Amino acid sequence: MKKCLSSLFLIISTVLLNLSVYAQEKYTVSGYVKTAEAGEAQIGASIYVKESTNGTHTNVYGFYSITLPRGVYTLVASYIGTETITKTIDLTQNTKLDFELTSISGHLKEVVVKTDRAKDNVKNIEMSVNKLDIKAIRRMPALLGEVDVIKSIQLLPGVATVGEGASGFNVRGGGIDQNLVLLDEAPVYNSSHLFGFFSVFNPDAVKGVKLVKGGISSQYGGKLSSLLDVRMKEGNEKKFVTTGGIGLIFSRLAIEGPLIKDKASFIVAGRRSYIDVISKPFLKGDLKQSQFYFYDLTAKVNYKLNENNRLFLSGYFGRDVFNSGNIFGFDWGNSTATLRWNHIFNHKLFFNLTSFYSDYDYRILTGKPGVDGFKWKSSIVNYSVKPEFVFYLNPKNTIKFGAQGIYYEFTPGKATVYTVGNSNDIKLPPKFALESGIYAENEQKIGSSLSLQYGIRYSSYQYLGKGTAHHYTQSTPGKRKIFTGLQTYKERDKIQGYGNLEPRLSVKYDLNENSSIKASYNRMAQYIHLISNTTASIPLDVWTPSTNNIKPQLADQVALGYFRNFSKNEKIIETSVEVYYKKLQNQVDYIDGANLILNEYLEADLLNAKGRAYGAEFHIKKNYGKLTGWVSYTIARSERQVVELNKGLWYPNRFDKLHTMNITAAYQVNNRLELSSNFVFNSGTPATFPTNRIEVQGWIIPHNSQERRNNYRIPSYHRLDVSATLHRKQKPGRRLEGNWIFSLYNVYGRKNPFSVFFQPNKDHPQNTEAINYSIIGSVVPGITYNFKF
Amino acid sequence: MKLYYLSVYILFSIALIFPSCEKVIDVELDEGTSQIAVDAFITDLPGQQTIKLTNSAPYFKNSPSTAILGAQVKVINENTGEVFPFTDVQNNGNYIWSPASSPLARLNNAYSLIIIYNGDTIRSHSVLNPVPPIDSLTYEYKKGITNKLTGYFASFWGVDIPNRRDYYWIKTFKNDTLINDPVYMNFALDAAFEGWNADGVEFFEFIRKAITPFDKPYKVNDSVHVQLLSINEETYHFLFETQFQLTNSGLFAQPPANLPTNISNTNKSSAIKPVGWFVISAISQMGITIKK
Repeated sequence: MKKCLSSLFLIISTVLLNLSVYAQEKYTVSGYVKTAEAGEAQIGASIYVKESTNGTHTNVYGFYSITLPRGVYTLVASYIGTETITKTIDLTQNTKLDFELTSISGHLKEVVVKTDRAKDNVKNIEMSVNKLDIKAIRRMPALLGEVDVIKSIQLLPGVATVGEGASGFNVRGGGIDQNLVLLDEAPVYNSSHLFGFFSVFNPDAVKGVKLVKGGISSQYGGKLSSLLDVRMKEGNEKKFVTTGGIGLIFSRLAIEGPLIKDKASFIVAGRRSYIDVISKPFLKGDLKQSQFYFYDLTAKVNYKLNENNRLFLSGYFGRDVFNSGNIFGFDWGNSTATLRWNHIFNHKLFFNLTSFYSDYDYRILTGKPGVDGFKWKSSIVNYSVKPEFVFYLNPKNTIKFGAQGIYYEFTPGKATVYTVGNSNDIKLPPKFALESGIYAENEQKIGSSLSLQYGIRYSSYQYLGKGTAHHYTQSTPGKRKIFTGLQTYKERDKIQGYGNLEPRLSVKYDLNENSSIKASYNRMAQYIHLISNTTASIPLDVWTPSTNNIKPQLADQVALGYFRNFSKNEKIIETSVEVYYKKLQNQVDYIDGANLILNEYLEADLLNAKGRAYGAEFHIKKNYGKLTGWVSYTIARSERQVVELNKGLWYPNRFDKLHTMNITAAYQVNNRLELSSNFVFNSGTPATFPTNRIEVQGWIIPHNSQERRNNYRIPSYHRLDVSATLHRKQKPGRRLEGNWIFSLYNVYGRKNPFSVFFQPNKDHPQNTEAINYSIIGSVVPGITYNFKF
Repeated sequence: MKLYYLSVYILFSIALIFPSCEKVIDVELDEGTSQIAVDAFITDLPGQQTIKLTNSAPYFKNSPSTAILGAQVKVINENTGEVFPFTDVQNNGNYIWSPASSPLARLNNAYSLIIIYNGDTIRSHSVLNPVPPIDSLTYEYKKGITNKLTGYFASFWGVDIPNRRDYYWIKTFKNDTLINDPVYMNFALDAAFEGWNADGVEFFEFIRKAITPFDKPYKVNDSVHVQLLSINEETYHFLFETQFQLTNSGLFAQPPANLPTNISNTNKSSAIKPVGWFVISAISQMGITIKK
């Protein structure tokens, strides 16, 4: 801790020292870049100074700052798919300069990118990053015509999933619990509706997403594999706009508009599925009262107090409900609330304070409460405060520093069980933890071709009372650990503490105008773990803190990339190749037959695993012209080693896929019609197959006499999706814009395997067979109508 | 927690939306090594007791397992020292003990299984735990969503033995045939499941009702015969895992794993590695015929 603090001071003092050296005859131009249509912050817009080679990007709040010597300058602001704005200033004092960028009328014209922004792939220091604008996401064919954020990022290089309908996603061989999924800075613990078929992010309220797979900034911590930063729209500042859609599964409606002119705006977006409403007439008896639906509500308000102060309040609330009348009820959901305060101390120092609340919980009810049956609840709640500073020291150095504290409350399980009127409470004790981090980072340009981003994060973690520390024997292969005793701790007592120094480094070297080499290293620490042993994670899975028995997970990743743009007349094709190697420690694995639910001695069933993942990712992207899209190919391995499993040998992870290829393409036929398609190819995922069969009590039991895990691969997965978007005719004076989306998912109806399992034949139980199980076994058509007025 | 029912329900809900499907495929499997499979479930019922010894077969062999012949099999009451020999009368791997003078099973006594085969000694151990009586069997007529799901749903009633951890296996015979599909397997820890603190109370609804296959209710004139067997903690986990491994499919499948075994070869270096299970149970039982 001391070491870390001193390095932090070192960075800050270097900064201040620099400040005094450079602070002569230089002035700062700063301000916001917004969209002209809605007045919303334009994240990642490029600001380029014509007279020098300097440029910068707006941050997530649309803010930028550049410091230059006194003089007259031409500033060019641009973003993909917008007109370029040029402004000239005479810089004789610190100046505020805002830009408003107008879209090149959406889908109607070819999107020609004429700006520096298009070279971002090569010029930006970020590597292992994929940004998707909501417009780009909307262009891809989607299951049942429903645009989906998570499904679209699954088409990016380095991203995998165990199969259709599985929730979450795996980044560069990491688990689904290793992604930091942030919705306006607040973590979302379960990003799926209906298991994994749809994600919780309502596309009507989303501005864009950014997936960071490597070279993660020291600003972020707490998860090993990736950062998925989902930013919500702020709400149209200029006029009221209603958008929505009607689909087969659910309908959407969003309203946004100004609250107080030039001061405050809002957006409210909601969705609800209606399978239950449609199926009601077909259900009989007890099932008549069935409910199965999901809904979500996303809302955001922003308020500009004055030039230098702005507040954002955003929230999400969503639930999935399965309720079969009086037999069974099951529901789960997330709620998050974020309050942010942007403050500009001066032209160079930008401050943001985020505080959030996030909650994930599920409930199960069966039988008749009070008589026979049970009810059960589990939750994870956290509260966080996160102050962050961005200091635009000079055009060569941008310094970020800040801190974060998260307080967790885990309720692993609280149940009441009934039998013939007698009730019994089962309660697993709640658990508490505090995770905190401080960081400092500098993005530095050296000369005209070298950029560095170096930083350090110190994370510290405390497992707190009131609680108990369980003690167990050492694990032996094939057996649960034996409980040897416990120690009780009072409220706020430290039961166990951990700390980790997490260095982060990114380097970019420009080879020439069109190509660069980038490299990065990052160490990440993760203190909370998703306890899940199923192929696809289920909503019942419980998050658990690090304890005296569960150590924090650690990952070290190195990545190297070559980025090259091919351009002709400013029409650019982006290409990149990246290789990475990742070493993982303290991964959570499970003994055979582990009992993960309502088990007070859960830790006895957990094993400590080592992991490694490596691969190469190839990406080609075309952003201009009638035909746009990308091709990505990933060759990768993800493996783990557990002393107690698989005879202690390395074995592939459940989501290991050697080859992954994604092609996504959109073609603008004319002003009204757009066609798009996806093609996906994956190698089969590993599975454990038996070698022998054993007969006991008339059961034919599969048995692997070699005691190997994941010794086979299920057949490979491939799928083609197509969709057509037909826009309503545009007429002057008509406000209503509408479009129909017709889609076909899994066009050639392949029975893609989700898993292969073994069972006796139903009619001839002596005969055993292998069954290929597909979640979606045929073509799925979809139709959606979207509107905006 | 019977996750199985939960996932069935959930998958049923998903199936309303998506056309999932299963098909038989050809898979080439590695050839494993054959092992001795011991099937030794002994009870206190009067009459013969059988221990079956077979060779484990390649998974796709598709014929009955071959018998292990020429083994010496005996069960020893560790409390009294009595030895009960099991002999392969018909030379088919079914080793049988026929009651002579004294009964084999005595409540709360400990038993050893000893198998001598090819010079190796294979052992296991089990205690005969008590079992409470079945108080009654009842049934009710219920209309389901379809005709197939409409019929008589039976329950058994009984109270767990108080002040001790008890493990039970409930076997149901429909028209004198054991319902042996692992999907319907019914077992309990005290009156419910692990972690439920259900000591000394009426069996929970899930257990009571699970004597009726949830998707195949009884019809008029069906006979329902229920056996409540006392088992032990290890056997409870064995049954739990057996059900799990034999129904482990779908979206929420877990990594398949070999079943545990409580049978071991005293000669650790021997190539003979036994698998299977030994348990001795007390049984209480009751039967009923469904009337209109």
